[in-house]
Amino acid sequence: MDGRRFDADARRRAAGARLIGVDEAGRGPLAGPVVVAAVALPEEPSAQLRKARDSKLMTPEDRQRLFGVIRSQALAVAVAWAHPSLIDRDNILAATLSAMGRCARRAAARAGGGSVLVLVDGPREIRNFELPQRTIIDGDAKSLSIAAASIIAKVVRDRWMERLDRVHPGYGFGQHKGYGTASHLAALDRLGPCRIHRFSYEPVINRAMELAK
Amino acid sequence: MTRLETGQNAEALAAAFLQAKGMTIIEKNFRAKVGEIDIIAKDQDEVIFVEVRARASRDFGGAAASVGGAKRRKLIRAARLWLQARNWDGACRFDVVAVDGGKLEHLPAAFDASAR
Repeated sequence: MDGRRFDADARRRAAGARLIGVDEAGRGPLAGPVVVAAVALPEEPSAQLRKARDSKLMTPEDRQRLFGVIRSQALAVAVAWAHPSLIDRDNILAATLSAMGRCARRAAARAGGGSVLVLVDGPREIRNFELPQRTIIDGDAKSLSIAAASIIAKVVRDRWMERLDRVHPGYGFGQHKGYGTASHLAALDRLGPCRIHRFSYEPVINRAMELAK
Repeated sequence: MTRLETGQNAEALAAAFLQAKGMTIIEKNFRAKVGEIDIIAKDQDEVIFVEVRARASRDFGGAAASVGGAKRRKLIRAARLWLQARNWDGACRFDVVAVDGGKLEHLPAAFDASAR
């Protein structure tokens, strides 16, 4: 089933509610924020919009192109993030879910009210959340709305990491985007953690302790 | 792991965290008769006295903020002593860093010296 038909089916079952796809980018990296996006697509998405796929399966060029298409054709787009200090305080899951709640509400308001159904990628519901929601495992592969959200989140996060690379040079944030690649770990060994590293992540903790001795 | 080791690990992690935030560690485990300060650091023109709380456990954020009255007074007295010894008359503040398992929370200016 393609993503558009999945959404049409979900909408039918929710009595025609407006769908809001929600997905996240950057739960795994050792540094930088987790970025969350919420997207409400038109009921009849254009042929261009239908090209949206799980952002991880697209080339950077295709993601950039779709990013522009989604931004101009979606009924509503919202982005929220959780910074490393929040991730360190609450843990990554709670920080991600609360950001999802914030941006889903924002997208629902921008989409102009009416009944909505929030489609959340993954196995877990947003906590303390008053809008109707449905969790979808592998949602970015199944639902066009979630795929669109995954593209927005990924592109926004990647661009942000490229900026952070200029603020915190030497780690290569522009290349690996904060993920624990060999070059990132080598830079951590050499330079120690900086202020955007996640101090609740094992590789960062271990290197921080090593350097503090 | 003994309690002391836990505390020392927490302090090492807190110190590394503050350094990553751009602060300079001046001294660790400053002990005076009146009290003890885990970390003394400098953030630009401000001296920071840092209390490290290991195992803040259940009410993570809450426990971090709740460095109690007696503990505060001890910290403040020790800080006064340190400031006098160094002849420092610039700005200073008291931060709390809570470390629990993998989690970490930094509370800048968690309390001030008006508690006496």
